Formats: sequence, structure tokens, C-alpha cells
Amino acid sequence: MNHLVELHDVDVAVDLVPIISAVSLHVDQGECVGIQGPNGAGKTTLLRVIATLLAPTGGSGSVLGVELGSKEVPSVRPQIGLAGHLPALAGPLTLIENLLVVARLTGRTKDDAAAALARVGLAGAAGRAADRCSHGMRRRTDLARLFLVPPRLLLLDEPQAGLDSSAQPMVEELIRQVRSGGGGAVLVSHDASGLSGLADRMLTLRSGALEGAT
Amino acid sequence: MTFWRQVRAITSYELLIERRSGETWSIITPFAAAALMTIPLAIGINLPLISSIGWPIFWSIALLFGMQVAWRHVSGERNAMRDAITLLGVDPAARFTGRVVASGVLLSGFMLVIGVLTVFLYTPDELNRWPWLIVVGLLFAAGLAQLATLASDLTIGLGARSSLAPLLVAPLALPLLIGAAQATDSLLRSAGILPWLLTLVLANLLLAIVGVLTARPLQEAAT
Repeated sequence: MNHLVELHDVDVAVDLVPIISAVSLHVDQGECVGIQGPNGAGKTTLLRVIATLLAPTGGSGSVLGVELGSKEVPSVRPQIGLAGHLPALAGPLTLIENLLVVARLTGRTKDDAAAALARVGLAGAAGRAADRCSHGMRRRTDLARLFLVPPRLLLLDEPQAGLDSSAQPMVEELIRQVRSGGGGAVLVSHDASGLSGLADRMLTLRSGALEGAT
Repeated sequence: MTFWRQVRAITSYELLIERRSGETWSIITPFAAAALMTIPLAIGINLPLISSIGWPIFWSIALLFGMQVAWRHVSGERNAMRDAITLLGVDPAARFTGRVVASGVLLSGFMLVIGVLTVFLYTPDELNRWPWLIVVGLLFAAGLAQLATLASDLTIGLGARSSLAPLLVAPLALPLLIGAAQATDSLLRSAGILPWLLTLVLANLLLAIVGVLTARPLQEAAT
């Protein structure tokens, strides 16, 4: 079995305060794993570990075949797509300018950026500054970034937060696209009901420890 | 994507943010201009003294307000955006270079404006070989941009980042300040400026080497 993500007894402590403890998890190709848990359970921290943006303080693991903490980690990062609960946008820039930055850095065109924005229903708001848009519009633009640069490993933090019901099919489409390409997805949320229709299996993170079949 | 294409993309991204937010031109520059004006007002009608302190005041203002220009992107920088750029696989050294170029361009423009204001307000003693002042200014701007960008990378994740980084930059910028001020003084006295130019070039080279070599370790340390 090819695991996209494999964590063994991973710990993360910040200033000696444990955030997640002995977390073991695997995500297979074509799989979508949902992780639910209350506020402060360590969901975002776990997602950042999987995104290689936070090094574990204990345990071991690999993401896309590369050992966490190794020198090869930067080489797999372009295959990881993360949409956090705060959209990764520069406020003074317009929505299309935010995507154009991503397009330029990844060798894509203006048309690709415009198409990605149209895909999330924001073609008409392309020229509006991000900090003058609603939270939902900013989150949609974050999704557009992931349509623009499709990842192999998709990580969504609170995928429903701030999005209305019309955006739900976009999230589903993004996950379907990643899975059909042989990738996988990890979704985290405080609300299990929001994940149940999207994930193949659900796990619960409580006080930094993962419960259920990991 | 090549290193220099990434540098170009990061530079234009940083400059576009500045163009939209206008922090340098609509906030920092007017305050620097006000600071330039207060000193002659405080001194009173003592034209020889005002003329003699014109260039030293210019460099002091360039350092103090220039730090704010070079530091402006840090206050607006969002963790999510930094993470997204990291995940796009942008070479940290290219990111460092792109941010330095953007800050250097802004600092050069800022210094040009306050330089013109200094001449207007202080009528400082005339410089011999004044085009060399442009070279000195560009070296000063490049050094300060590198120093501020390096300090911003060093302080990622620290709680007191916005107050700590200027404290790091100010003492380390002293070689730049001394080099620029002494070169200007030498131009006033028609003396040689080579030692001071070399000081500025050396400081820039050292900062460039440290900045590029530490870009990846600092990025990984911040993760």
C-alpha cells in the first residue's frame, strides 16, 4: 500500500507545552480522511505537521515518501496544497492579483488564474481588493489557488467555515480532482457533520491525541 | 522556474502591495519630511549651522525612517501567505533577494525625496563630485534593505517581533551609516572616498552572503 502520509507516535510541543501527543496516522492514495475535534485539540497543528510547515518534536513520519525533518522536505512541498482557516491572501491586492502572484511563481498564465477564479464563481469580483471582500469570498479565492495549482496532497482546515452552500460543490470538486489524480486529502474541522459527506473515514482528535482507526 | 524569475515575481509582488497600500509614500515619507522640517525650526535663524548639519541630518533621517520603509512589509506579512509561498516551492534565497530588491527600490525612491527636501530646507554645503552621492545612497539603501529583510527572517515567530527587529537593525546598520556619512563628508572636503565606498561595498557583500546562505535554514527553523 502506498501511503501518502504516514505518522508514527508524532509529538509536537510548543514552549514545552504538548500540543499533540503520540499521533499515528496514515493516508493512502485516493483517500480522504476527516479529523474532527473541539477547539484547541491540536487539529491545525497536526495539519501543519502534515504540510511540513511544522517539525515534530517527537516520533517519526513521512509525507509523499519523504521523511519529516529531512533535507528532502522542500522538494515535496509544491505537491502539498493547504487552505488554512485564514485565507492566504495579501489584503491590499485584488483577488486576481493574488492569484497572478501564484501563477507567476508556478509558471502559469493570466488566463489560468482567471479561469481558476471563475471556477469558484468570483470572475465578477476579480478587481476587488481582498481586504474589501467578505471572508467567504476570500476563502473561495483560497480554493481558486488550489484549482490553479492542483496539489497531490490536499489539506483543508475547516473546509466549510465561511462558505455558503453554493461553495460546497467546489470543495467536493477539488477533493474529487485530487483523488482522481492519485492524491489524497486530509480535512479537519470542529464540526463532524461538515466532514462526514466528504471523508472516507473519520477520526477524532481530543486533547492532542487521535482516537479511532488511524 | 529559474532563480531570477522567482526573484522578479517576488519583487513585483512586494512592490504591487506597496503600490496598493501606499505606506511608504503616504505615511512614512510625510513623517520623514516633517522630521526634516522640525530641526531648522528648533535651531532658529542660524543659517551657517543649518547648512553644516544638512547632510548628517539627511543620513540620520534616512536610517531611522528608512528602517520603517524596509520593515513595512513585515508588519503586513501574514503567516498564511508566507506558508503558501513556502508550499509553492519558492527558493528561500530567491525570496530573500526579491524582498531585498523591492525594499531597495523603495528606499532609493524615499531617499531621493528626502534628499531633495534636505537641499531645499537646509541648503547644505555644496558637494564636489556630487554624482558619487547617488552611488553612496544606492549602497546605503541596498545594505539597509538586506539588513531589515534578514532581521525579519531572524525574528519570525517571536512574540515581540515588531519591536525586536528594529533594535537588531539599528546597531548593525552603523557601518552603513558611518560609511555613508563619512563618504559625504569626504565629498564636501574634496577628499578621497574610496575607503568609505569599500566599507559600504564590503557591508553589502557580507549581508548578501549571510542573507542568501541563511535563507533556507531560517525558513526551516521557522517551520
